[in-house]
Amino acid sequence: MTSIELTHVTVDIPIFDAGSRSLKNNVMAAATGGQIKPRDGTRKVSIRAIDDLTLDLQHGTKIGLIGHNGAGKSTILRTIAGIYEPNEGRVDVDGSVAAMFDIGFGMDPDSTGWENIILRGMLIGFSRKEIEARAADIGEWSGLGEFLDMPLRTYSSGMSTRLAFAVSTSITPDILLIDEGIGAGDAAFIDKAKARLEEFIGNAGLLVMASHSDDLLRQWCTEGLWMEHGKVRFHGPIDETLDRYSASRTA
Amino acid sequence: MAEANLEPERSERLRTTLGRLSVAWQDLREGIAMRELWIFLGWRDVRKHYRRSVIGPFWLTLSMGIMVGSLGFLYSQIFGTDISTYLPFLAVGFILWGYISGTITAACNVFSGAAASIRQIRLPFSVYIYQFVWSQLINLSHNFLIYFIVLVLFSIPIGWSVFLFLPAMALYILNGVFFVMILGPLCARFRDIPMIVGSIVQVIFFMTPILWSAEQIPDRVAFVALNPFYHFIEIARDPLLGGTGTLTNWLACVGMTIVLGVIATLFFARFRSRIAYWA
Repeated sequence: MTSIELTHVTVDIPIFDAGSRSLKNNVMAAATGGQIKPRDGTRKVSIRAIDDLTLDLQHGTKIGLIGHNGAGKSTILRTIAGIYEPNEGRVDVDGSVAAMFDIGFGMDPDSTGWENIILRGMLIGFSRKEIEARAADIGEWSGLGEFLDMPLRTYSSGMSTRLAFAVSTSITPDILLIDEGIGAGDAAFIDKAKARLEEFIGNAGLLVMASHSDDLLRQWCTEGLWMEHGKVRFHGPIDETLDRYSASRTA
Repeated sequence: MAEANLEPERSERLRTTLGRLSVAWQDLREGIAMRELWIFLGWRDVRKHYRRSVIGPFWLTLSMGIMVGSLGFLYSQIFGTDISTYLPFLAVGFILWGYISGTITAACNVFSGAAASIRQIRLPFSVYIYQFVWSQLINLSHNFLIYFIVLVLFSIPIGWSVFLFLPAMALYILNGVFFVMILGPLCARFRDIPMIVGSIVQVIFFMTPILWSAEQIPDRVAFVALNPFYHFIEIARDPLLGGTGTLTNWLACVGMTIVLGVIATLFFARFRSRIAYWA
């Protein structure tokens, strides 16, 4: 059964400016006793992005992450995706995960549209055979026609978004992680994208979505998780969570 | 009181280490299972570099060929040696050194260069490692064209011992992977290590018998024998030129591979989970 379980998860993100990343400064700091702001007895500077979060999401949950920039929404998504391994606590994820963070990720400007379908398809987990079998469908759906034979750098940004969107939504994951709204080109395309997105999100057993758009959240999510400074401020039905959140902003 | 606490603390630490080792091992195995992906990406890396150029990666071969040809001519004059023995020696040494130095210097950028993709999708970190070593091997195999030309041009007498090149290559690949397991995370964390590594590699080039041969300094045996890179060059160069490499060469290489392997595994296991934060 698809599920996500976070148990007392804490994630600290180390901050490296040009200074603390260099070896010299570390050696110098050790020699001079360390002048850089210490944290927990070390010289490292870090931000606690998630602070002791416990969360149990079962199959069928569609949860929206709400909060200011830097509240820890993206970090939660990356932790569930297995990109960030937490400093403390456990993350148990059961089911195949698809992460849609940056829609333009894994596209090569010098490759043709077709090549990019293969490339991105393999990066999101298809085997070569699988993606080659789907390439024609994906290409057709993108509506880019003979542009697919041209290098991606000749595309307008709307066109490359179409292509990325077409490939990304061709998988059927158990768990879907979405960061921010999926911007999708021109108006005609948005209608088309909506139908596909509906199917894509509808098929996922579990959805975790971070967004600043109330409409998107109300449309897709049933639950809301309001984060503040890495901690849960409120967890409940999406409407109530959004209402409380907007009330706190106007207050 | 303090002593009573020591035992559980130590066993706790041991458990953590073992846990990390098994996760690292799993990472390395998962990566091998995803070979289709990194073979594809490795090829792309090589091709991307030379996209829209007519002869592609053979530019690498061509520039190395020109270098080997002119240096071979020049140094055989300086050293007063016969060009028909010196040039093949230099050519093979250069080709192999190309792989060694290329792997070590570029190993530093494997994770920092892949930062965008590391933060976008979860892949075993070993995928980036294998992809990198694979692309280095592709470059090496392009340069082998020079070897074949030299082979024919100077009619080098090779025998069955040429197959010793295969175990030598296996050691090259293993050590390549180990180097990335150490330098990849380390250089992602400390951004001036790549520069340090770069200059060290340059110095090693001149200290290793590539331009000159070990026989030229018979009274400085230790200087050569203590250089790990000498042994690594020798186990591959000698078979390609009709010899076998000495037993000492082989034992030294196997020994160093084991030591480096242990260090790399421990290092990678310890810092693997930090790579996403550092890259």
